[in-house]
Amino acid sequence: MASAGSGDEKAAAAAMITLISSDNEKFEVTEATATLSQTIRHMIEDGCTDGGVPLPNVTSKILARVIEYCKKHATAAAGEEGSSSSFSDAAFLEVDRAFLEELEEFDDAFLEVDRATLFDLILAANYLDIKGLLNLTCQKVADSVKGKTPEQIREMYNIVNDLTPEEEAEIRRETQWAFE
Amino acid sequence: MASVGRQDAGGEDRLSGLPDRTLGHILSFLPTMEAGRAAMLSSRWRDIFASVHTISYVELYDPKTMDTDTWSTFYFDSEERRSTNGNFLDEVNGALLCRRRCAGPETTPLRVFRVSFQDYHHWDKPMVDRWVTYALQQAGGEELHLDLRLHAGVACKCGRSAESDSYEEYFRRRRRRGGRQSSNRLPSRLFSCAALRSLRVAYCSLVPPEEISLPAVETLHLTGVRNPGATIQRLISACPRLVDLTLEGCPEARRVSVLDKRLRRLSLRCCQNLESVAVDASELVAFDYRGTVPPETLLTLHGTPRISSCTVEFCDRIKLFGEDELVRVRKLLDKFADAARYLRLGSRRLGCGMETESSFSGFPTFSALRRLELTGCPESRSTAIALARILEQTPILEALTLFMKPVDNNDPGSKDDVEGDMVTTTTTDAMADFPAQCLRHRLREFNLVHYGGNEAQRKVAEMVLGKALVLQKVCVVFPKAPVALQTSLMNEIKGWVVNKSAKMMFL
Repeated sequence: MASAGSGDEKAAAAAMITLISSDNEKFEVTEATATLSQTIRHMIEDGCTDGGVPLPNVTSKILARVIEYCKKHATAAAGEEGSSSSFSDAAFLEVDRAFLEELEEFDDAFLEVDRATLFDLILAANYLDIKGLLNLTCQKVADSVKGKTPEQIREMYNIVNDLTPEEEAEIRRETQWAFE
Repeated sequence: MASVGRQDAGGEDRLSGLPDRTLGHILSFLPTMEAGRAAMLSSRWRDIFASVHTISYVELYDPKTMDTDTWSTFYFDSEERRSTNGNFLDEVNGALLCRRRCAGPETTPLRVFRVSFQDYHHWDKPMVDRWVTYALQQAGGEELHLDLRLHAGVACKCGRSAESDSYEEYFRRRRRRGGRQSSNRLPSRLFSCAALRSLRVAYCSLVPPEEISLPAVETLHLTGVRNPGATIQRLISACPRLVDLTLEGCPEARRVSVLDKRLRRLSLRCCQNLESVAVDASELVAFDYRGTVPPETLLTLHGTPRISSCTVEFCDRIKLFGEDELVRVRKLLDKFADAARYLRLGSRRLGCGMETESSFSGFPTFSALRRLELTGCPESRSTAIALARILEQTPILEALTLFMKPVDNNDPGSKDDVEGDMVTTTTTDAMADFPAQCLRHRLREFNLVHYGGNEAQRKVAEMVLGKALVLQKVCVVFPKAPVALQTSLMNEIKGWVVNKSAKMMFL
């Protein structure tokens, strides 16, 4: 497997983890990459990763993308040592601007997916509890509806309006505060 | 951002199919009012606001209600005792009441509660108390980020626009309106919130009880906070996991010590009376200072500091530092010279007046510095000399940004150019053969912001562009100016660039 950078190389000596997708494909990743997922981190801590980690909710197509994301971002998170601290040096520092820009470009390119894949990624990020990926994908959806009217959002996402005119009037009254 | 558009997804509504928590997370990225309007989408969304974990409101400046005259007329005399912030209070209340109405067993804990007043009035206190109490109740066990700004002014007047208030003015005005000392005191249960992860407050009065317990706080930002009974130190001591500390505009803060934990970031802004700050700096990566040139004894860094990002902004009114100030500037910069990779340095005069002969050794060698940003007024041609001297000390610099501040003509100090020009005559010739290694071999990016093209600015630009052999990117941002002037400045710059393959941008 191609190394994603120095973070991976450092961890190469450490344990490898095997992830198994719902369609039974096996992916071998470093622990540093895998532990971006809090779900997997807890499994490793509980010592139940021998023989691979089955992920029955994630297809191989999506898992491959998720791993791609984790590899890239594991380098960025290196040195955080599993603390639940919400801080990474990258967030503080504009020092490594080149690296941050690269990461941003990666994220932008990563999000160039069709709608179905985006939702699959959201569900996978949710299930695997990968904070960064969940934020990235949810932000993308939020950006897409920002400033849109309910009607535009419904059309965009095929949402069927099942509210009766009475209910609609009631909700409008209830949400008066949100209409300035 | 292109791919989320109308697509043929077979008519399936996958968005509504996401779990409540995830929908709440998505909506939390939107302005709170927009998140509230999502209830209109369909019955699935009707109570979704209970899953939104971020409530954030910033009161906009409205000259109609903020006009100080209003206070002495209608609002002050009205029976209702409703402050000019009435509309803002209604907005925040609307969101909180909606959250309460939608609440069910699945309600997502509140994660972020942010309110920022333009100008709080003591009549608003009962409401703010209720909000904070509610936020603390709703936090659940996970994490709560609380951000309360009762006043939008900046902490310190130096170098800022004239409308903004300083700390002193704010408190003076509050007293005039009959606000008591306690009128912006935050509820004391705040100081025992186990979920509180970050606490940012501005112009609030903090009166913590004997026992403070903030086991999860990582970020503490205190702006315009008074310091009776060393409240600030007590708060810092009560946060065992603190990594990010900002003190801004707290003139009553004198001594601060953070030795029992390792900060990652420290920011001291406009705390004029700080005498000593002692920190365990072994994990400090970012340091930020704004204020007058501090006494040598201000900052004590324990451990082996590896601070890689450093911002220092001097707001002294004087334009040219004297010998004494320059020594103290040097002492401060010395602390960061070995490790800093990114330095921002601001002073009234661009380059801190490093051009005077006596200060030639005034700038330490920044052996690891990659990016340098200098802010200030380039006045008289000697600024170019100051810059050349600084660049001598940054051997591996890759990016240089100069923020040119416009010359303030009303400033009595701005007529000291005579002195500057005297320096020029003695040193201009010497400048021609500055080796400036980093310019020849390293500098790839050069940014000029607010380039108006006066003589000093042109001198500086010419010097850098004429020597930067490996330059790849040049970006020049002009202030508002006639097109013809901009065009001629642009052409002049193009002529100076010695590496013709560099990409040029003019904004």
